[in-house]
Amino acid sequence: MNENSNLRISFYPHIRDKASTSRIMLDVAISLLPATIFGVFNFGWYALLLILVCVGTCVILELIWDLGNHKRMTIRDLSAVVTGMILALNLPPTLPLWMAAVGAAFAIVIVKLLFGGLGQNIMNPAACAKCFLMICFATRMNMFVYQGVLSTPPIEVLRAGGTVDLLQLFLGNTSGCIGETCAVALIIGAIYLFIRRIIDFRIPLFFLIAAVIYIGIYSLFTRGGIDMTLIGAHLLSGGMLLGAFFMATDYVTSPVSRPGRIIYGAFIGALVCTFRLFGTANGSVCFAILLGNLVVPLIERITRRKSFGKEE
Amino acid sequence: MTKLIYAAIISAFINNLVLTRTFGTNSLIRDSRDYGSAIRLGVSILIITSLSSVITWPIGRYLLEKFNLSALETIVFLLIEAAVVWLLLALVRKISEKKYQQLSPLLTLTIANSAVLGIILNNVSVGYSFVRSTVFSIFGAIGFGITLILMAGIRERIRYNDVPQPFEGVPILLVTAALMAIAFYGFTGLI
Amino acid sequence: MSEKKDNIFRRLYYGVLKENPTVVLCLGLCPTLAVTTSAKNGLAMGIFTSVVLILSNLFISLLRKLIPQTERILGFVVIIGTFTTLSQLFLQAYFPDINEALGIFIPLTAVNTVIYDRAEKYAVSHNAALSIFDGIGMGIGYTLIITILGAIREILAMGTVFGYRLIPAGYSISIAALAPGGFIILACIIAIANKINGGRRL
Repeated sequence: MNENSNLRISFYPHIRDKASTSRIMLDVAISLLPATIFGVFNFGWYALLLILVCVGTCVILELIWDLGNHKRMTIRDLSAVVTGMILALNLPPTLPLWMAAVGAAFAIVIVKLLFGGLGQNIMNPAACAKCFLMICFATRMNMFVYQGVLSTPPIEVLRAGGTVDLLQLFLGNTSGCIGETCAVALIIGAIYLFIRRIIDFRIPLFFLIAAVIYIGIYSLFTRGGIDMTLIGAHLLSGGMLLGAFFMATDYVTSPVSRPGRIIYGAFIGALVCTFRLFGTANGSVCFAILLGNLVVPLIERITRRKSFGKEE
Repeated sequence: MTKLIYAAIISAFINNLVLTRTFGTNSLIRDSRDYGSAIRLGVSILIITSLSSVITWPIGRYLLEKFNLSALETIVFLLIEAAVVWLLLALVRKISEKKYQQLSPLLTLTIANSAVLGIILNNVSVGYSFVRSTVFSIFGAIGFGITLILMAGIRERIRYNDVPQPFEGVPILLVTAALMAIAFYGFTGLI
Repeated sequence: MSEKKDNIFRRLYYGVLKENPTVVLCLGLCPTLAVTTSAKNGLAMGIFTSVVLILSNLFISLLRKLIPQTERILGFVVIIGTFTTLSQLFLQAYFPDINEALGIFIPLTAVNTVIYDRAEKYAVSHNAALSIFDGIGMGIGYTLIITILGAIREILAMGTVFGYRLIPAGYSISIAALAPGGFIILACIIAIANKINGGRRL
C-alpha cells in the first residue's frame, strides 16, 4: 500500500512480533533436522544435494527480490530456509535437480512473495510447490527409488491392498519421499516443537483423530472389522506425520481461533483419507492441506469470536 | 447410480467450470468481491443453468439434430437462456420490486456468461443422456458457486496485502485462481 | 471521448495499446485462457474473434436506432449470435482442422465479453465507420496478446512455437498448458503491461 504513510492497514491477527519470527523459524528448522538427517542417511548424498538445491533456490530468490524491492532483508527471518527444507523433504529422492529448483522458485516467488511475503500467503508454499511439481512432472514425482532399485512406496502398496511392515515404517527403512519415511525422526521433531510451544496440539491431534476414525469406519465396512494395522500403516506412511506436524500447522495458512483449528484439522484429515482410500495416494496430504487452506476464510468466519462489547 | 455420483463429482470438482475449463473466468474476477455477490451469482448461475439445460437438451437432441440444424444450436440456446432469465426476472418482480432492481443487471449479464452457454452446448454436442446432462449442469454450476465463495473468502483476506504494484488488481486474482486450480487438481484421482 | 475528436486512428491506438481488451480492460478471459495452448491456436482464435467483433460492431452501429434501450442485450445476443454462427459455418467449411482445434470456443464467441463490451460501450453510440475501426483496433490488440500468450505457453509446455522446436523435448513444464499455468502467465503479462502503462490499475 502507500509506503509513505505511517498508518498500516492489515488483516488480523494484529499482533506482530517481527523480532521473534527468526527464532520461531530457527526452531522449526531444528525440528526438521532429525527427519532431514535420516533422509540423507536413508537415501544417500543425492538427497542432500536436493535439499541444498531447494533451500539455496529459495534463499537466493528471496534475496534477489528483497534487493529489488529495497525492503529490509526478510531472508534474515529464515522462513525461506524452512520453506526449502519442507519442500525438499516432500520430494522423491531421485528427482532431477532442475525440477526441484523450479518447484522451489514457484514456492517462494509465486506462492509467497507475490502475495506480499511472509504472513500474507494464502497457501502453504511448500505444499503448493509439491502439488505444482506433481502436476508438471508427474512421472518423475511418482518415481521412487530405494537402495538402487525402483520401488513402490508403502502408500502405494497399501492402496493396492497389500500389507506393510509397521516396524519398518516406524523406523523409516522404506522408500518414499526424503523426509516422510522415518516416523521416529518426525515425532522427535514434533516433540521439540511442542516443548518450544511453537505449534498448537489441536491441528495435528484432530487431523490424526479424523484419519483414525475415517479409516476405522472404512475398514469396518470393507473388511468386516476395525483393522488397527491398516490404521497404523496409514498414519505412519506417506506424508501424514510430516503434513500433520510441520505443514498443516503453519500459522499463516491455518485458522486463528481454537475451534477453527479443530475443524481445520479434522477437515484435512478426512480429505487425506478420502484421497488415499478412493483416489491417488501419492501427494494426498499436500493436496488436502491446500484445500484446507482454501476453506480457512470460511472456517474463520464461522468461528469468529464475538467482538468485545457487541450484542450477538 | 454410482455413475451419476461420479458425474456429479467430475462436474463440480475435477472438470470444474472455471478452474479446469476456464469457462467463467470473467465472472470469477468481477463478481467475487464479497460473499454476498458470490452467493448471488452462484445461485443465479445454478438456477439459470439448470433450467436452460433441461429445456435445451430435448430441443438440441430431438429438434435441431434431427433436422440437421445443429449449427443453430448457439443462437437457439442463447435465446432460450435469455427467455429463462426473462421469466426469472418476471417472477422476481412479482415477489419484490426492490429485489428486481437489485438483481436485474446481474441476471441479464449471466446471459453473456460463457459458463452457462458452455456447459449446455457441451452436453448436447458430446451427446450425453438427459439425466447425465442435467447432473453435469447442476453440479457444474454448484462447483462454480463453490469456487466463487472460496474466491470471495480469499479476496477478503488479501485485500490489504503488500502485493507488488504491477500485480495489484486482476493479476493477483488470476494467480489466486491458479493456486485454487492446483488445489482442486487433487480431486482428479478420485475417479 | 467526444465524438468530434474521435477518429479511426484513435480507435486503432486505443484498441491495440491504451485500452487493450485483454491486458487493460481484462475482458474475454475465458477463451483467452482456454485456447492459448499453442501460438497457432491463439492466432486463429484472435482472428476469428476479430472478424465477429468487426461485423457485429458494424451492424449494431448501423442498427443502433432500431435496438430498444431496455432490451438491448437481446438485440446484441441476436446479432452477435448470428455472426458467430455464420463465421462458424465458414470455418467449418474451409478450415475444419482449426475448427476442430478450437472446439467449443468457436460457438462460445457468441458470449465473448469483448464483443459485448464493445457493443455496449461503443457501437450503440457511434457511427459505422468509427465502430468498424474500433473493432479492428480491439481485434488487433486482442489477437496480438493472445498469440503472445499462446506462444509462451507453447514454448513452456512443449518447447515449440508455431511448430518449430526451440527447447529440447523433456524439459517442458506441462502445467503451462493447463489452467493454472495459463492463469499465472496471463497474470504476468497483465502485470508487465501495468508496469509499462506506468501503474495504471484497473
